[in-house]
Amino acid sequence: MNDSTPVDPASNDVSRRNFMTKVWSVIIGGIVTLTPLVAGLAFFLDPILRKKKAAGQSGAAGGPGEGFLNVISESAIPDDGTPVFQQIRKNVVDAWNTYIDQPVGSIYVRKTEDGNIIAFNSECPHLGCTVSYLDGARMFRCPCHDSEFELNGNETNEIPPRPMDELDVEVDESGNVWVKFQSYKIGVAEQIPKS
Amino acid sequence: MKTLLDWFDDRTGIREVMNEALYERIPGGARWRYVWGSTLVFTFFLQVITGIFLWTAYSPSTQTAWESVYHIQYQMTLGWLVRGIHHFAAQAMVVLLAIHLLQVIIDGAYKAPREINFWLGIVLMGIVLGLSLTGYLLPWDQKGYYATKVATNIVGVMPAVGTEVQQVVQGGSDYGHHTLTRFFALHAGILPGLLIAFLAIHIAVFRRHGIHAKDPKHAPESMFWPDQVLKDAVACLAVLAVVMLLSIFKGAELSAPADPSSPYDAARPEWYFLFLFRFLKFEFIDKFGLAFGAIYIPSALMLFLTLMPIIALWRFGHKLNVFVTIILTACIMGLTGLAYYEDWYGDSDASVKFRKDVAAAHHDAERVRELAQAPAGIPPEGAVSLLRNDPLTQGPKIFAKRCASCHRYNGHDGTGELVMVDGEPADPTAADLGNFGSREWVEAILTDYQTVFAPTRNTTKDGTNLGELFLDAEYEMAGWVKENKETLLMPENKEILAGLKEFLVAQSAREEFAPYDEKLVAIGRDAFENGTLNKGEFTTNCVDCHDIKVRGEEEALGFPGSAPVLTGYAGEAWLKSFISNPGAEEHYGYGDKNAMPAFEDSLSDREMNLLVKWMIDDYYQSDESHHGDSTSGEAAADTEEPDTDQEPESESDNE
Repeated sequence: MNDSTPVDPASNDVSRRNFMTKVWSVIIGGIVTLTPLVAGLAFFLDPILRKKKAAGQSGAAGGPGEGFLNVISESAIPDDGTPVFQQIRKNVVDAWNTYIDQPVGSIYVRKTEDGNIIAFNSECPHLGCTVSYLDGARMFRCPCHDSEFELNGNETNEIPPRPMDELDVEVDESGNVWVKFQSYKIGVAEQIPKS
Repeated sequence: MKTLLDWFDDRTGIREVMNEALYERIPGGARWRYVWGSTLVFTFFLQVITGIFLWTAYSPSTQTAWESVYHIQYQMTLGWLVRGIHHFAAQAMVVLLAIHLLQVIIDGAYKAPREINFWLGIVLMGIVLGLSLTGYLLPWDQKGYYATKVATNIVGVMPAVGTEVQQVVQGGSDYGHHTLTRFFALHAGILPGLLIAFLAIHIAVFRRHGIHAKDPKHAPESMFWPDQVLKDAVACLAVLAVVMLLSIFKGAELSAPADPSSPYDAARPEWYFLFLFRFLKFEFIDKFGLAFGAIYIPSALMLFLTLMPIIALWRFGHKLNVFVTIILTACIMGLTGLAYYEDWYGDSDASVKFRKDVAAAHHDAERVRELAQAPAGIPPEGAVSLLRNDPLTQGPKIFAKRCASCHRYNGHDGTGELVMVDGEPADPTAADLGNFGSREWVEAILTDYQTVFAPTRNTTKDGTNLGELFLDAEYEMAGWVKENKETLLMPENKEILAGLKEFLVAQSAREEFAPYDEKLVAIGRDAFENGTLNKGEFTTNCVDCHDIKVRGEEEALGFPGSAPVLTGYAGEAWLKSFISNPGAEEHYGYGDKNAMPAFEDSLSDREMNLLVKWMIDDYYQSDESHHGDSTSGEAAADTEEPDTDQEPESESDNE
C-alpha cells in the first residue's frame, strides 16, 4: 500500500528551492492551461469580435450605391399618396452559405404632397410586428398592440417608442425607385441600426 | 481567511483530497521519464477545450460539414488556431502515447502488481486511436473521406460479422449523412466519455501501487508536488509550443470537399498509420488477403502486447518483451520511413503519379477556396457543387478525355499531361487549341495555315491522308493563304492585318479578348467585305466564300455553301454548334473533308457547357489569380499570355 503521509517539506535547506519549484509550476501550469482557453474564448466570442460583411450589400447593379435596392417603379406609386407595400429581397449570408434573393423584410413607399417619394420600414418599432395600412382611415396601424402612425410616419398614440423608421430613397432618371433597406432595434426610442 | 478554509474543508474534505493528490512520494526522485502520462492528460485537456469550442461552430451533415470547417478555418476569429491546436495535438497524442508505452515497457512498469493498469492503458490507447479515426472524417474533405473509407473497408473484411459491422459503423451501405452523425457522436460524446472514465480508473489504480522506479537510487525521494509537477509542466509547455508552432507555420489542412464521384488518388492514412499501409503493400502479405495483413496480424500483435505481463512471469519474459518491443518499434519506424520515402522521393511510376495527384489535390483545394470566397459564395447544396460546376476544373478533364485523342492544348492534353501511346508521346492529328480564337490564332490561320493544321498529315480519312485533303488543295483556304499571305504580310498592310484580326476576334464577343478597338474592327470589316488593302489585292475576297452575319448587324454578308460560316466565330454559341456537329454544312460539311466526330449525342449539355466555358475563359476568377487579357489593337506584336493554368504540375510540389 502506498504510504500517503506527506513528507514535511519545511526543512530550511530545501524550502527556498521548493518554493521556486512551486512558483514555476504554477506559472508554467497557468500558461499551458490558459492558452487554449483564451484562444477558445476569442473564437467563441466571434459573433461580436468579427465585423461582418453583408452579402451583396454593395447594392444591386445600376443603383446609387451601397445597400440600395431597386424596389419599384415611380409610375406604380399612386399620386394620391396611398402607400404601397413592397417585399424586400436580398442575398443573405448565413455563416458559410449564401442564399440568393431571400425575403428579408418589407417597406411602405408613397408619394408625399410635394411629389417626393418616401419609404418606411414596415416593422413596428414597438415590438416588431408588421404594421398594416388602413385605406379608409388613411393611416398606419399595427395589428399587435395598436400602435398608430400618420402617413408621414409620426406616431399618434403613446404605444410605439418612436415613429416608423424612414429609409433613404433615390429615384433615377428611368423612374426606378431605389431604397436603402435597413432594420432598427425595436422597443427603444433611439434609432439604432441592426447590422 | 483561514477560518473560511477551515469551514470549507470541514464541509468538503478538500484538504485530505489535495494532500492525497499532491503529496505522492516518488522513490528515486522526480524524473523526466515519468512526464509522459501527464503530457497525455494535458493533450487530452487541449483536445477537450478546443474540441468543445469547435463544437460550437461545426455542423455534421454532408452538406454542411466541410462548409462549417471552411468557415472556422478561414473566417472565424482565431478559428485557424483553435482548429490547428486540435489537429496537431491529435498527432502529438499519438507520439506521446507511443513514448509512454515504450517507457512503461522498458522500465518494467507493466509487470505485477501493475498488470491491470497496463491493460487499462491499452484500452485507453484503443480509445485514442478511435478518436483519431473518427475525427479525421469530420471535415468531410477528400483526404479524410477516402482515408476513412479504407479503414471501414478493412472493418468489412472481418470474418463472419464484417459486412454488418461495417454497415453499422457507416450508418448504411455507403457513406452519407449517418456516417457523419455517428462518427461525430462517437468523437464528441461516446469516446471522450469512455476515455475520461477509463483515465480516472487508470490514475486511481496507478496511485494504488505508486510509481515503479526502475532505479530507486537515482536521486533522493521527492514529492509529486512540486517536483514532478514542475517537470510535467515543462514537458506540457514543450508539447504546447510544438503544437502552436505547427498551427501557426504549417496550419491544419483542408482539402477539397468530399466528392464520391471524383476519386482521390493521393489518398493516404494519417502518418501514424502509414506503417500499416506500407505493410499491406508487400506482395507476400497481400497474397493472403486483406484480412490477414490488416486484421489478423495487428490483432496478433495486440494479443502479444496484452500478454506481456503474463510473459514477464517467466525468467526471461521481461527481456523478451523488451526485445520484441524494440524490434516492433524499429519495424514500424522503418515502414513509416519507407512509405514516406517512396511517396516523396521514389522514382517509380506510382510514386511520380502520387506526387502529381497530391499537387492536383492542392490545386483543387485552392480553387474551391477561391470559388467559396467569390461573391456568390457557397450555395445551399454545399461546396462540392462548386468544383463540379467549375469550368476551370472540369473543362480540362473533359478535353483530356474526349478531345486529346486528336487535339492538343498548348502541347498537352488540357490537364498538363502529355498524350502517350505505348509509353511514347503520341502525335496530334488535329490543331493545337491552346490559343484558339485569339488574335494570335487568327493571324496564324491567315498567314501560317500550313503550321496550324499540320497535324492533319498524321492521320487519314477514308484511306487518303487528311493533310493532303486539308492542306494541299488549291481552291480551298490553304490555297488562298498560299496566294495571299505575302500581300497580308506587307509592311504597308500591317494595319489591315491587325484590322482583320480584330474584326474576326470581335465576332466572338469573348470577355477575355476585350476591349476591341472599334477603328481596327471597321478596317477589318472593310477588308473582309471589300478587299480594301493599302497595297496589293486579294485573289478572292473573304466574303466571296465565307458567309458571316457580323455582330450587331441584321443582314448577312456573303452566301453560305462554299466555306465555313463565320457568324460569331470562336464564341460560345459557335463553339457549341461546331463541337456538336463539325460536319454540318455551316462548319466543315462542305467538301467532305471533316474527320472530327459529332459530339452532340455523346457530350451532355452539362459537359458541353463546362468544356466550352473553359475554352473561352468564361469562369470566375478572383482579382489576384486573374491573368492578363490579351490587349487589343497592337498592330504587330501579340501580347496575349499563354494560359498559365494549364502548365504541367511541378513535381517538387510537396505536401
